[in-house]
Amino acid sequence: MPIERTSARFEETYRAQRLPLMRFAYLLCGSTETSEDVVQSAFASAQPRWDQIEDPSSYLRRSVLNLVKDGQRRRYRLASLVSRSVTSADAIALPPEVDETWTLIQQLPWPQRAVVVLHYYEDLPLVEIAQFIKRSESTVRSDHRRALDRLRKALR
Amino acid sequence: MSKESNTDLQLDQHLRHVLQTVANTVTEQSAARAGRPNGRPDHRRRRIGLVIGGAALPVALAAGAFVMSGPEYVDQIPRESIIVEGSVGGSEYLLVETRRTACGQPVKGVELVEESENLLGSEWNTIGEEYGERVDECRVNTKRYLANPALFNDGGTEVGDSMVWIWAVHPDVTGVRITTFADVEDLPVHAVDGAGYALFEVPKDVGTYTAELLINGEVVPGTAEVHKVIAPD
Repeated sequence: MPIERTSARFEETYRAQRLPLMRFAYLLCGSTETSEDVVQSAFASAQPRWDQIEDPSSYLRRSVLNLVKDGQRRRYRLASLVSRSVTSADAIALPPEVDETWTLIQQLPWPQRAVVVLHYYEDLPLVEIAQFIKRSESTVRSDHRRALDRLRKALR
Repeated sequence: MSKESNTDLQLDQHLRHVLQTVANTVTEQSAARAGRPNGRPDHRRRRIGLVIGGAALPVALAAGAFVMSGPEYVDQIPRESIIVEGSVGGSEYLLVETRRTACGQPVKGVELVEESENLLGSEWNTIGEEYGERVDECRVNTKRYLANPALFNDGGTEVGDSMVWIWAVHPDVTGVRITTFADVEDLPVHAVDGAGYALFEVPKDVGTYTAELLINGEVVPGTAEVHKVIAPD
């Protein structure tokens, strides 16, 4: 495929997918800054092999998920914060009932949070989530059940 | 939610509503604000930008640290390109002069090669640091930086169970002063590609430290920054 066409297709996808991916990333990490970084990283890593990617949307989502997961572990960019553990961009006013649940979701262990976001936001069935995050179906079902148990208990 | 409303279906709907509401708070405007912490000018923000060949991403990429990966191999690093070797938190690392090219031109700056992320024979996966302002995927402009020794880029990564932080500084800068609760240490600056690079192994027991640039032992005004270390999970 000519480079110009690939480039145009890439840019088109970028413009269409950037914000949805930012939102997806934000639900996974809770930081607009990190979301922006991982979305940039996802696009940048996809760019050299753009022609070979069959399903860019799925590829980019998986890439974002892995980058957020990696960032949770490495915290490569969070180590040095200049009095900005919560930036103005991250301080979002939410209705109380949303705020309470969102706080609880953020406190879920990583695999449970990922399953909750993929199932209730991205609307993926658990079986597809298992394929998406490369975990067994039974593990995903267990993560999902534990997350719901935890949320249900906390929201009583 | 009331106790009665906590059925699976209602919880399902509630979660969907919450996640959608939270997601909708992320807008193009909030995305544009991200990476601009209170009171910090853009040129010193610590965004992790990216330097990868090909068409330009239609966003402004920040100067400073960037994540790198690619088909180079850690066992082929020439000895003469190694600036610093060390070990922190139980993991070895190397600070090396980058050998990468972008847009047919050699990339300037350094890369931090972490042992656990770069096994022998494996592909290169590093954190890079360069001096100046990235203009696009091919160009870095150092003009404004070279006119003001107080301008610098920095970034870091987790190494082992601790951290390593890197500064890219003006060529006149001779040191980076680190002040912790227990100590004051002046880090040496290594000259690479017309700029200076300093590296700090953050001790595991240090939660906060201050970094200041030095020229011949004198602090460069406006360069003090307090770094708060967040312990890895």
